[in-house]
Amino acid sequence: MPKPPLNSEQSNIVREKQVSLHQPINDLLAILGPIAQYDTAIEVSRRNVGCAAAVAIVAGVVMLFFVWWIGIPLLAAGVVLLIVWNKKKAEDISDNLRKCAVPLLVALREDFSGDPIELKLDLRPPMSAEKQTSKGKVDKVTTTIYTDPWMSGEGVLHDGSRVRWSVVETIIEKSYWKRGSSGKSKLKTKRKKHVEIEADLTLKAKNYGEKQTLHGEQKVKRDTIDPIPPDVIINVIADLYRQAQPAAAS
Amino acid sequence: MACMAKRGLLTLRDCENTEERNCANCGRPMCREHLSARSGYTKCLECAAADPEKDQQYDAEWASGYRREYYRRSGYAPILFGAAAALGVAGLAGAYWDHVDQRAFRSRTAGMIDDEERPVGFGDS
Repeated sequence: MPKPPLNSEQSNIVREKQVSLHQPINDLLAILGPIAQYDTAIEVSRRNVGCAAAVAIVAGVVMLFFVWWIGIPLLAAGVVLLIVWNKKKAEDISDNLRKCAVPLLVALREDFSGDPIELKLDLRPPMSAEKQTSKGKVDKVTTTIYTDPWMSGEGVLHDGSRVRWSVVETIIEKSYWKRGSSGKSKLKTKRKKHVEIEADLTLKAKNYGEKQTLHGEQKVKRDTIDPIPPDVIINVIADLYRQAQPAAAS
Repeated sequence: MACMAKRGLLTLRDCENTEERNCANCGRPMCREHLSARSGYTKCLECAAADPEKDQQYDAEWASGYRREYYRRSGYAPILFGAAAALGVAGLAGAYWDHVDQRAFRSRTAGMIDDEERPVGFGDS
């Protein structure tokens, strides 16, 4: 997949990995859509470079024993590719953007009115050092906790209702060294994720009889740290709509 | 004739654009916005989204397919606005949304009883 060209605002988001926008839905998607495509392209390219680096290093080491003058350039190429791979890692942004935030906004695009939406995204990797909130060791097991309040938003919907939502993820990583029967030690790691979604829906009196604010929240436990699908967030807002009683039409 | 597509996911409303052509698959009149560019503007977004060869791009076609799947998975019944609300669920059944139980806005007149339909009984002389 080719990398889409990014304008200065989009390049700045990729560099800073923070989004704080106040724009109508179509403008938000015009900014975030290409960044999501860019992230996909970067990931594919990074994976290819990583594989090429591994092949070059392994082939280089093998060749050193047989044809050293081929082995050394291969090793050098492998090291260069490793540096490029590491550089691309710095450009990497959280998959939450392309696997959750952008699909969520696309799915709800026609629900939002033309008014600007307040959207805040923290696109730093969920397990980056900045998001680590605690680390402790009990009985050889090291537990590291990362707290990631990565999305919050507020906007007016087409029926005049105002929706506010926020997503906070907590990743719990447990790791310990296990000695196998051969005597080799291996680091075993388990990761779980708790997701807390909150939403408020303020219904417009004109369409729902009286102005009222409904509150909903959902806690989801997952055995994987992969991004949550947009369904999980839409479900919380849809549950609030289930409680809404439309007013009589005139 | 007006486009028969519905806008929204949490609440549904009429598209209100004028028809460009009928969908080659379902036959509903559609505006240009609700025809799929990938199909050469011959199929509506929903029919085009059902194509298994559709790539995973988050566009209007994807949103249309997602909405249908979301209603099926979650059993969510969207609130309906606009002229289509007057048709009620039965009216919508003929208008393609037969699998979705929308909550149409209740008509104020629905609760009133016409004089001619008022039950006849014995009154005071």
